[in-house]
This record gives sequence, structure tokens and C-alpha cells, in this order.
Amino acid sequence: MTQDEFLIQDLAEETGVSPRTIRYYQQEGLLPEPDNRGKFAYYNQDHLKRLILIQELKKNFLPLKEIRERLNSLTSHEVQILLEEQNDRHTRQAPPSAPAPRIAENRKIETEPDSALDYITRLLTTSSHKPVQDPGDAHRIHSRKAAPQQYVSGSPAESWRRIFLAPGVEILVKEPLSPQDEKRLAELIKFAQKLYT
Amino acid sequence: MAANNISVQFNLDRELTPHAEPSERILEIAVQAPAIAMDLQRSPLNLALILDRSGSMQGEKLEFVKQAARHVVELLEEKDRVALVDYDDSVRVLFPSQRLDARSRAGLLRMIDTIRSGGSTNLSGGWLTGCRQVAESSQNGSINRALLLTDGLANVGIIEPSELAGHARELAQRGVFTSTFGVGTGFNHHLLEDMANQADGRFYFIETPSSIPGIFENEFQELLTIFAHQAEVILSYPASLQVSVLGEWRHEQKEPGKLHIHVGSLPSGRERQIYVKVNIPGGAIDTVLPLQVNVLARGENDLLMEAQADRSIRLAGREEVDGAPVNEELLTRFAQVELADRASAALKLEREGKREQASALVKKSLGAHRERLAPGVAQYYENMSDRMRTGMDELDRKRSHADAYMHKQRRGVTQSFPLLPQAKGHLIFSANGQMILLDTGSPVSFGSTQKFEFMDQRHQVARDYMGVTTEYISQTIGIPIQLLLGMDVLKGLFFQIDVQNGMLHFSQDFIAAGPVRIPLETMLDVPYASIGVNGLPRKMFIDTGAKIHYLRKEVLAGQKALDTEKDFYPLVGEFETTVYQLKFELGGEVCSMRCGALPQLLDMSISLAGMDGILGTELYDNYRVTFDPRRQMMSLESYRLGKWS
Repeated sequence: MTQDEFLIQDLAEETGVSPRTIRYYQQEGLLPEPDNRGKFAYYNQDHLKRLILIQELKKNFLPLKEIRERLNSLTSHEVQILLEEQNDRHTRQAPPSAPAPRIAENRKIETEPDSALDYITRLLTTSSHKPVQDPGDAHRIHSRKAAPQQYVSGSPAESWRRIFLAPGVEILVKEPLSPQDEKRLAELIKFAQKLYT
Repeated sequence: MAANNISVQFNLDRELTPHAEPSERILEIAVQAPAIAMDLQRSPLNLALILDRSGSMQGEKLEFVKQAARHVVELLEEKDRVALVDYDDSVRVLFPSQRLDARSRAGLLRMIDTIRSGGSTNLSGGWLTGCRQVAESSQNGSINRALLLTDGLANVGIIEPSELAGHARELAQRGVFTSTFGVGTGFNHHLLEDMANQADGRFYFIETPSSIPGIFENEFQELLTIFAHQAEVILSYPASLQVSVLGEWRHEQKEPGKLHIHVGSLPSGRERQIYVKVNIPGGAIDTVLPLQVNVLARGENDLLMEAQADRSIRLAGREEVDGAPVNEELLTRFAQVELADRASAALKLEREGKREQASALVKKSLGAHRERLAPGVAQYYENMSDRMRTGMDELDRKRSHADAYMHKQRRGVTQSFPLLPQAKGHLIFSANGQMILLDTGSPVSFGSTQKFEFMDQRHQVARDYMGVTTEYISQTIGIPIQLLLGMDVLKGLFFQIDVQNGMLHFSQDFIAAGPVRIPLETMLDVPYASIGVNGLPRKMFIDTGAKIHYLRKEVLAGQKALDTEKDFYPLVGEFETTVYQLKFELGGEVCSMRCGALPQLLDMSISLAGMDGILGTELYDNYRVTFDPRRQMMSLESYRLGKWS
């Protein structure tokens, strides 16, 4: 990967557009296809600029169809010019709170957010639980205070996983297990189930 | 884009708002998944059944849970994956997630049989272990869902409700969703609802253990028909406005002026309505505030679907605002949602012992909306507010909470009506001051009023059907009725006829089905089914307007007569018929019931329709019967057994 290339996740983070939406734009022909090399799809500066421009045009409540028509006729250079014009307009008109889009030329590739599996494994293996923000009564979005919360979590006792094989036959496994041991355990269960069915 | 796309309707209570002062406007965002043919290839399910086997589940509850689990297993296909986890203070993976071939299916059923009740409730451990099974087996396009059932309070492991709800949210963001099932009165309904809200799933309150299998099945059927996965509504608005979402949908603001609301997965043909309050600070006259709604969802083959709608609010002078049209119907719906939303918050306060505060909260909201509410609805909240002041019992809390949950997310109205006793076999009830005859044998509703409101929906009603009026029927049956409720209205609803308990139940959402299933077909919207009569299959109309069953003379030839009986039929008038005692076989249930011979005119028309007879209301003396017109099914639960067999 060259320095000017992004993975979809980076592009998403850079622009605040979700990967889902990025793929949607591709599918709808608003964005050119990325460079598919091996396992990954690589996006470049042109993708980034076009994506920012789409967001800008969407702010003006242009329908996607029209945005597509406008963008598709533009060269990479023209996109850059249009974007600068938009930026100028922003600095002249927008209240100071509206941040101008930033384009990072050299960004470090960051790792993807953890998967559900990582998240659960972390939860099941840590005895002290990190407080999470209260999602409950989020009625007032603007006036919501992020009050610090205290949790009285359950006993940090040893955690055992009990796997039932047949009446009177169980496997007891102490948590946490390394990924490798998880694999071994899965094999063991498969084998044991063959024995008992 | 394909015609089978997701769609959105976006409306405002008023398009103008005063410029000189702060004001509030209401947005209604309705997201619809189109109805698709059921034979389309469905996505594979990836489920975990997480069952509470703590001490309190012992006995009937656990037996019904096991039955529900067996039933779900029967409904799964080979491409589906399922894991079985049970928990008390320790958590067991009884069946690690795998595909269901004949061999593993037998193994899973054996495992279900081994579940025994034990100690306390490690809800978090059980739930997370189940979620892990789902996460491990997740594939592109699979429907990942953990079904968590409990009857108690989390007392081992993570027990803090807001923390559990937070984890539910995190897991939903990572593609693992949870629906929750609370049984009886011992569980924490706020916790289970919060978890389901945050995990884009659904919360179910199960009052009686015997309905566990039916309710599990409903969730399952919804999963099978999911059309739009993980629908997300993105509302864009000028950042100077303040917005708040009703109904506790999971939502977040990723940047100023952009609100993401997660409405979960939508089964085919279903709609979700979201209400957003917008506070406008005021500003220069004629300023136009643009609003945009984008809906994103994944459809078949993981394809992204998008819908978009735009509206705007214009700031204007007071006089012009007052003269502008108001969307009254929207405000009526909003009133119900906001009241339910506030009731939900009040129930939380009541549970914490803040009775006065809870009672006042409901009263205040009621005061603000009273004029838009139907009298029955206002009375309902009035009573709730009164009960809050004196303190509620646990069952009352659970029921009120489940009602509020349904209403604030507009998941469909459910209403029950007592049946008029001594109505000589006719199913008559009173709603909004009208006496109504339930008649599945009539394709249309008709009555003396042109319009009538039923289950929150307004219907146009004919004056008569083929010359038959409600006055004529009133005269013949000797009971004054103002409306005949026919299949045009009924086909959009679930309904249950429970004669032994003297009740009729209607729901736009669902009513748990009974154990004996009978597939229905329709002719001109009137349902019919194949019923075994003395060992031979007969096509019979299901007609709640007829007293006893009837068959064509030809079919009855050779049977021994029992008696004679007088009856009437519209257009035929009064007649006397010979009555026979016959053995009816309904979906495996055998029941001996009386059956008359059709008078000649009816005999001819029934024969022309290719039918053999009519199944009348005597059926309901023997069975509690639930109609599910959406899935074209009728189900029975025998009063003799009183339980699932």
C-alpha cells in the first residue's frame, strides 16, 4: 500500500461516512470502484475528495441522482477545484462551529474496531467491568450530561464454562481461554459429541 | 432500483413555525418494508437460545420453555445454525452453534430434554455466552440473533441494568442482536426492554407459561420474513435546532445536525414509525429550515437499499402560522406515542417508590394530549395514574409496561372486548358504544354508520351487503347491533375467540397461536379450510355468523338424524334443519359436534363455490381459536385439556 492509499475503514473515519454508505455510493455509481488487490480494496485521494464533495452536495439537499450526474462528468482535478470553492464558501458563510472538511495527506492506517467476538471475550474474561455510557434515557440529545457512573458488578469469582455432553458427562473449562485453546476445545467437543450420539 | 425497495414517508405536524419565539414541531418518519412473497429464499438464521433454568423456573415454566425450544428446532432448516445455552449461576453450552442436519437435530432435542432447574440467575453470563456462539458462527447474510429468556433478576455476574444495556448496544453495533423474553412477574422489565431496545431486538412479556411456545414462534416467524436488515434512519437538520427521539429507539448523533436512529430489522410488510420533536429557537422571517431523511438498510443478498425524503419548515409570522393547515392525524398518533413514552418513564419512577412523581408525570402528559385521545385511551391513563399513586402490584406493572412498550414504538394495537353473554351462539361485543357482530362469513363490513373507528384505524363501512342490513339482522337474532364486522377489516388483524373466558382479542401485532394448526384458504376473502368429517376431507367455510355447522345434504346422506333445530340465514330467512352428530377432525384434533343440513338455496350456492359446508360457532364452545390471516392460519387450543399436549 502506498502512502496515498486508504482502506475503507480509514476512508470512513476520515470523512465520517460509514463503510456501508461508501459501498452504497459505489454501487450507485457515485464513487469509482476501488483498486481491488488481494484481500483488500484500496481507495485513493480521488475517492476521498469525491466522497467529501458528495457530503457537501448532500448538505445542499441535492438528490443523489443529481450528485451522480455532476460528479461523473468531473475529472480528478475539477473535483479538487470544486471542493476548494465549497471550502471557500464555507469559510465565508458558515458559522465558525461548522468544521471545514480536512484532508489528511499522510495518515497512518489504523486497525478496524474490535469484532463482536473480541468484545464478548473481553467481557467474559475481565472481572472488573468498565463502565459504559448510559444509553437509557437519552431523550435530550443536546442537554445530556455524561455523568460518571459507578457500577456494583457481581462477584469477580472464577468463571468456569460447563459444557454438557451427555447425562452425567460434562466438561469444565476455566475461563479465559486463549484463542488456541478455544480451537482445541471446539475440536474436543466435536469429537466427544460423536462418541455420545 | 428494484421495486421491492424500502420506502419512507416523512411528515410534519405543520410546515410553518413562528419566527419570533421558540417553538416545537413534530416529525413523523414512517419506514416501510414492502410485503414480499414468502417463498423467496430466506436468509439463513444464526440463533442462540439462552434459557433460564434458575430455581424459580422449576415446574410448568421450564416445561413450556423446553416445548418452545423443541418447536423452534422443528421450524429450523438445514441451512440454519443454532446454539443452546442454559444458565443458573453457572452457564452451560448445551449445544455449540452448528448447522442442523438430521443427526445434530436429534442431538439438540436430546439436550433440550436434559435441562433441569437449579440455582440463581447469571443472566449476563448466559447471555454473553449465547452471543459468543452467535458471533462465532456469523456469516455474510446470516440473521444473527440471541433469544434470551428469563423469569428472574440478574443476581450473579454483571447485574447493573445500564451496563447490560450498554453491552447490548455495543454488540448490536458489532452485528449481534438480542430479543428478550420475560416470563411471569419476577423479572426486571426495564432491563429486558432496554436490552432489546439497545440490541435492535424485541421485548416480550409472557404472562402465562402456556403462551411461551406461541410467543417464541412469533419471534421466529418474524425472523424468517425479515426483509430489511438493520434499518437506519439518518435525519439531517440545521445544527441550530434541538431534536429528541421518542420511543427509546437506539440513536446517536455522530456530528452536529445529523441524527442516526436504528430501527432494527423489518419483517416483510411491516412499518416502523418514529417520532422526533424539534425545538426551533426562532429567527429571521421566511428562513427555510431544510430537513432530510435518509433510510439505509440491507436487503436480499446484502444489497444496500436507500430511500430519501425531504421536508422543510419555514419561519413565519404568528398569524400566518395559525392559519396554516395542521396534520391532525399525525398529532393524534404522536399523542399516543408521547403518552406511552412518558408512562414508561413514570413506571420506572413508580418502581423506585416515587409514586406521587410517577402519577403526576402521567397526569401532566395526559393533560397536554387529552383532546386528541379517544375517551377509552384517556381513561386508561387516568386509571394508571391513580394506581401509581397508591402503588401498583407487580403484574399490573408488567402489563402496563408491556402496553407502553407496544404503544411508544407503535408496534401495533392490541385490544380485548368482553363477549355479550347469552347471544345465542352469536359473537357480539361492544366497542366505542356500538354493538358489533363478528362475522368471518361476510367479505365486507356494514352497518348503520358510514365510518367507524376500530383498533386505531378508521374504516369506511357499507350500508348493506347484498341487501342485508344490520337492522334486518338485529330483528332476526333479537339483539340490536349497529355493525357487522366482516373480513375486509378482519383480514388485517390477528383475532382470538375465547368463549369460555367470554373474551374477544384483536391485535395488529400478534396473538400467540395455539398448538393445533389448520391452514386456511380464502374465497372472496372468506376463509375456508379442509376439515375431516367422519373420516372424509370436506371444504368448509369458517363462518362465525353461523350457529351450528352445516353440510350439504348429499354429504350427509346415510347419517342418522339426531334432532331438528331452528336457525336463520340472511336471504334464506328462518328455516328448520335436521341435526346430526358427526365426528370432526381438525388438524389432528377429533371432536364430536352437531351439524345441520343446508337449506336448498344455500346448498346450491355452496356447491357452486366448490365447498361442502360451513363451520359455525359451535367450534368455539370446544376450542379457543386464534386467527392469523397474515399467515393464513387458524389455531386451536382445546378447553378440555386446558394445556398444550
